[in-house]
Amino acid sequence: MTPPHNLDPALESVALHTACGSPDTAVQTAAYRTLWHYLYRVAAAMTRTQPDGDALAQDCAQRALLRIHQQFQRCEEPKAFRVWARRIVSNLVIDELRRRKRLQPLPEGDPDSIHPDHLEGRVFGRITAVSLRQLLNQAPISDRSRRVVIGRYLDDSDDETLARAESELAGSDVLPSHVQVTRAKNIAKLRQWPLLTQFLEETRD
Amino acid sequence: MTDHSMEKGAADLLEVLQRPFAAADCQRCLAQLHDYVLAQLNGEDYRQQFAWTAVHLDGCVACAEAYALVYETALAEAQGHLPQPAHTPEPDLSFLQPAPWLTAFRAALEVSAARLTLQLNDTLLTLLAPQPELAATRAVDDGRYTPRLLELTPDQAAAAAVPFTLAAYADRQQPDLCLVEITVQPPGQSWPDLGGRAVTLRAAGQTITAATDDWGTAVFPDIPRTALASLNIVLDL
Repeated sequence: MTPPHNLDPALESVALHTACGSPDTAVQTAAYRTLWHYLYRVAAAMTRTQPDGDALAQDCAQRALLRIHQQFQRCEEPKAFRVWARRIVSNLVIDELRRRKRLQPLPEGDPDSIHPDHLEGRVFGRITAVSLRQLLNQAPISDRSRRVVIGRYLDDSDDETLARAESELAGSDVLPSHVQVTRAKNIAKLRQWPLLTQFLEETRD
Repeated sequence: MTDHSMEKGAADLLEVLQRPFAAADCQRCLAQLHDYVLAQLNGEDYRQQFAWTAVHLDGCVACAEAYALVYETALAEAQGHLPQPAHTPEPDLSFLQPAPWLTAFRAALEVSAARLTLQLNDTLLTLLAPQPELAATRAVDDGRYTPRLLELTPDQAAAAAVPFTLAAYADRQQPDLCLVEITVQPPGQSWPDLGGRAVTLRAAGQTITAATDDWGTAVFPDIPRTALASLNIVLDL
């Protein structure tokens, strides 16, 4: 079965769903082969930066194919069949990366690591947006990291807006997902920042 | 941004900075991740719709990285930029091949609008023989009917798309004989509406008809074991 081109994704999804459920073994086999190409492509995109990415993608796509076959009846919306299939293979990749501890919190040698020199500073007496902003301005993180934390929480910007601003500053594409990961990593760092810990303890009193 | 929303943002940030996350939170986040990304790519207010997920993603680096993988893959696909691998290996599609028992079963089955006929044979008898550890005793007879000689389980019946299950048990009091039990349950029907259906067995030159009880079960004791391999079963649906 050749993947149809220039077809409405929903129609393509319905056609693939119908063929995967076909009682005709030849039609079903061809459909699962088409599905395999899609699943492998998704898995390979997700594992492309992994050292054993090809093998990992193959393993996850194969397991996804089998799971889709076993749980085929659970896909009640043929128009969303491809999205459902992508969800299954994506979750398998994520589970596998987690199992292999490839989704790591703080890589060693991160340039933004907390440095003792940054421990000097003034602790503010009460929690306000202004005092928190002042504190974050002293935080031992990069300017970009500071912008995506402050932008999200104190300026109420969404990640699309922050990504556009960072793209302009960097002169290269910054995606909302980059903004999200940067913010999460820097919030993790801030949690370990003694000055912030002290600030939180004092303001809690 | 108003002073009020700025103070709310500050409070939210302080919460993220102090909130510990449990493993169960990551499972919950992963379960919502795809809908979160879908809403984001559709231009919806995903932070409002999935407020808990948004907070969790800020507080958990592993989930944020998982989100980035899902987001970037979905975005690439939506833009038609999903990378095409240089080489795609062959899939293992052996799971699509019907099991040997199913092939033999289908060959032995005749279906008409109101009647279903199964002609057992040596091959099918072998393929439907239960695994030794599953060769159970018939529950209602204090160990008289054991072991189970052949079985078509509910899962197998579903795979074969037939509305009945089948089992045969050895008779310990009469070693040459066995008991055949057939339970008929057409789709959408259940106890107590399963009674009164005719089930006919042809074995060793004899034709025996029994009606199902309210549970859909028809029982045929005293069937020669040697006749099992040529048993002909007719169900009126």
